[in-house]
Amino acid sequence: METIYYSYHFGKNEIYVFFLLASGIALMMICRKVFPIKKTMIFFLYSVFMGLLLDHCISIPPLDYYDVNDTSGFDFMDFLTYIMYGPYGYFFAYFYERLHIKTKLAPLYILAWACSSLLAEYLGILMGVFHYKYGYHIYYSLPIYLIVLSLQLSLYFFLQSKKPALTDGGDSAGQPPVDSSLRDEKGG
Amino acid sequence: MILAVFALISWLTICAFSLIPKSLGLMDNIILFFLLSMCSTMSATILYTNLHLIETSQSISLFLPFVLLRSITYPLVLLGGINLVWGIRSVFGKMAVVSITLLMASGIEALARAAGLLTFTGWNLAYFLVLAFVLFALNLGFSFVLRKIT
Repeated sequence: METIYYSYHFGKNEIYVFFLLASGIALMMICRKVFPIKKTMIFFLYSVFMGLLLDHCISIPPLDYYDVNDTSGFDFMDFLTYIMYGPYGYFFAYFYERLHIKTKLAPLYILAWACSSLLAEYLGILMGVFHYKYGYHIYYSLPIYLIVLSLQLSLYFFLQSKKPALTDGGDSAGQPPVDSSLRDEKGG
Repeated sequence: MILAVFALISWLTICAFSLIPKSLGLMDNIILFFLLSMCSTMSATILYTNLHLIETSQSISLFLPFVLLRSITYPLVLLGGINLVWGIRSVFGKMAVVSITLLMASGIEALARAAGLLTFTGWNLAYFLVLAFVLFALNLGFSFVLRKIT
């Protein structure tokens, strides 16, 4: 498989990724904590995981519908691009919690996030983060965003429905430890 | 046929993982699954697209089982092993669990190769065993950190 090189220099795509990553992490630090640390990690990692999983399905042969950043191979900037999704996955759950969105409005909330994700992807194309191949179009990403965000909201409901003592690690004898995540949630 | 066989293997792995006694909490398991799956996916991509040490099939019906293996089966096998290691107190027992886990992962990799999902071009099962051990050890270490976080 031949490696395609789109750029050899530090360019717009790197600036775009660094800007979104840094601003996302900075906002995470500034915003009031509403989840215990493990839930925060899960919401952060979910987006990184889904981005990586889907990109590594449809952006490598035999499908190979697009390349990410400067080469068709995998490099450190690609890794940072996936990490970049993390803060926004967290904010998806964060704003749902903070804005007390009603369940019947959840589809609209998902649609709004899917549209803003499409906008971010469009900017990514303009900045050279994504290079589409073989007739791939940005609107193919819409159903993917809708499914991924719906799954994330399901994960959010699932985690919020669990009692903290059951979700927060037991010891080697199988006994769940006394948990502080409930206090974290109440106390902020 | 091959897709069905590997889907069955993934399903059996999920069932086995659901049934084994878990020493880590639900959130710890979710976090570790995400990490293991990401590590497994990234290492497969690097081996394939950058180092050209393996080749995957160009047929979609053989690529899908490869995705299942890479993103679900291997991570769950290793995560099951990590849960069992924390549940067993004797050192010999822990070593046995690690060995069995790595042998299972290698067995599935050998099956994938035999079924034509992968072609080794400079890669072999010994390297895979080392990679699986490194992933296992890293995530076992991280599970230690997660157990400390309340």
